[in-house]
Amino acid sequence: MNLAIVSGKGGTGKTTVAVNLAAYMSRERDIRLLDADAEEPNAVLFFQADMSRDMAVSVMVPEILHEKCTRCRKCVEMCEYNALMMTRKGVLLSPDLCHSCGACMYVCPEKAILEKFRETGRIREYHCKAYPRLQVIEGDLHRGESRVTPVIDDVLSYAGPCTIIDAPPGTSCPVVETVKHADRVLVVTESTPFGLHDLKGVAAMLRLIRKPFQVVINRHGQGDDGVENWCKEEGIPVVLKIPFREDYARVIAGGGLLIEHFPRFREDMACLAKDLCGKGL
Amino acid sequence: MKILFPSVGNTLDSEMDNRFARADWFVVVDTETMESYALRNGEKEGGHGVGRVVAQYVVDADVDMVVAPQVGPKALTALESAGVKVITGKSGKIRHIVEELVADQ
Ligand code: SF4
Ligand code: SF4
Repeated sequence: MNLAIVSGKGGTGKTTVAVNLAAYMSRERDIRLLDADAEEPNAVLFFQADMSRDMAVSVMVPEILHEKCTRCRKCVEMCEYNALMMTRKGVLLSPDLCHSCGACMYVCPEKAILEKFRETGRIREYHCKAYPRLQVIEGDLHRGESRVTPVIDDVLSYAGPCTIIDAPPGTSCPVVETVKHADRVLVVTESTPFGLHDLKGVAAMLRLIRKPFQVVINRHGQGDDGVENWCKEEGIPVVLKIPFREDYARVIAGGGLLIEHFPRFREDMACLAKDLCGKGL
Repeated sequence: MKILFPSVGNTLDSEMDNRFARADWFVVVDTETMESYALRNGEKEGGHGVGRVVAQYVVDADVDMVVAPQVGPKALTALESAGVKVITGKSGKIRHIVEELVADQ
């Protein structure tokens, strides 16, 4: 099973579901929890975890040797991402637009473009004493870097037989990439008009790439029935409703796992796990 | 100094276009001779990233400055890193802006 947990925006409780479900399920099987929310990874903060590996993610960046360049423009014309521009000072690279495809190097007749590498993030592996069968893998994009995809790709390469992915929030390309890898998708949302709006956005994206999904309603009872009614109308299964409770909120804010404090939540995770496992774990 | 304006028409008396990369025309004015000419924006219908393509086009026109009501972020960084000065927040008839800029010098 490869389960992606997504949400239309941050702060809906996506990570809460991911960490609790991963911890719960790891009591009976090996689980990998992949934190692909690389701009703000925080899953590991819920565990007393020890880092076992810390690796760099690098991307290739072309470097122009201006003294060799004859200004033929072949590279500028070749670059599909418009990352190169010809200026008075010679060829100019916009690193945030470059996709590291290497086409410019290939096409340059003067060999005036070199292959350099830049570190854009880290991949970290963690183990937790309390959950020996759980491995947490986190992608962490360096501040100021705009291309999150290489980091996410590296995180996703860790997918094992039983994987839970904490996806980036939203519906952008990195989210689509993450979800494509998954065979099950849970969308976490809140029972408010905003939650419904975000859910509709995610649902449209998932339907576009033909991924079936199920919904988890967080802070249930606090808002209105809009989300539930919409799911009913659309025939989207709601697999879990997490009630709004102040004692839940306190534990989450303190970086704790709900399954360690609330038997009722443990039961909720048991149901969810059973539902997920019943279909091909 | 050569200045480029996004424009709804092809003369000095045209109004500036609010959209930079998707303007119909670019009017280039040489402030020393007050000569001007117009370039048709062939990238107007371009898709994502059109700002960058237009930036190259503008850099190729070899101008010193771009004056526009607004310029998108991609075109802006591209133009600035290519050494083209960008002034935004101006609107109205190109001729008036040129006169204003010349008077300020
Ligand atoms: S590596 Fe590819 S994307 Fe990057 S500048 Fe060269 S051609 Fe463009
Ligand atoms: S292809 Fe090579 S020689 Fe031609 S402009 Fe690009 S860097 Fe210069």
